[in-house]
Amino acid sequence: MGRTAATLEQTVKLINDAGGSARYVIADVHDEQAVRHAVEIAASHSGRLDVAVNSTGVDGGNDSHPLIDYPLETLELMLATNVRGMFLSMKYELKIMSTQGFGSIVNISSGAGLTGVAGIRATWPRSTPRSA
Amino acid sequence: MTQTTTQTHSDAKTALVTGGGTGIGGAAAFALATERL
Repeated sequence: MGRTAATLEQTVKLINDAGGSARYVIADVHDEQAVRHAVEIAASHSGRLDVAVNSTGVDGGNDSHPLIDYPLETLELMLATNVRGMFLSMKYELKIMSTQGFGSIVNISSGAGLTGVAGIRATWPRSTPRSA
Repeated sequence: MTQTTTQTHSDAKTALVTGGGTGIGGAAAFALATERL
């Protein structure tokens, strides 16, 4: 499951061509049940989940505005994806990892969560969801 | 936007990568699945 089969298929093909093994699930981190299902599928093959890398994120794209003009829907999308989506991913990954007694999670953030970026006027809306 | 989930598996480890279709997530999935991390 997931949202963008084409890019996932490309990643899986690169991995398989390099001698690795991968499969993908179409999922949307906005959907709690889809996240739960994806994590369960990941662990179902071997019966364990050793590593989780949470790198899903959005940055508002080219929707750059001064804070006073910043679209609320863009901020809400970033919070839903970068904060809530990360939370849901960790919630279900940790359920498996805590039961099995091991596992590692790497959450990918952004330099924009650590420091302002010169020239990007909408620094606060961009950086806050990255550092929350 | 990258809002996808990729799973990678190998004999050595099982890994889940969210946002694994592009960018850093894709690179992480590739590295984990080919054990290059």
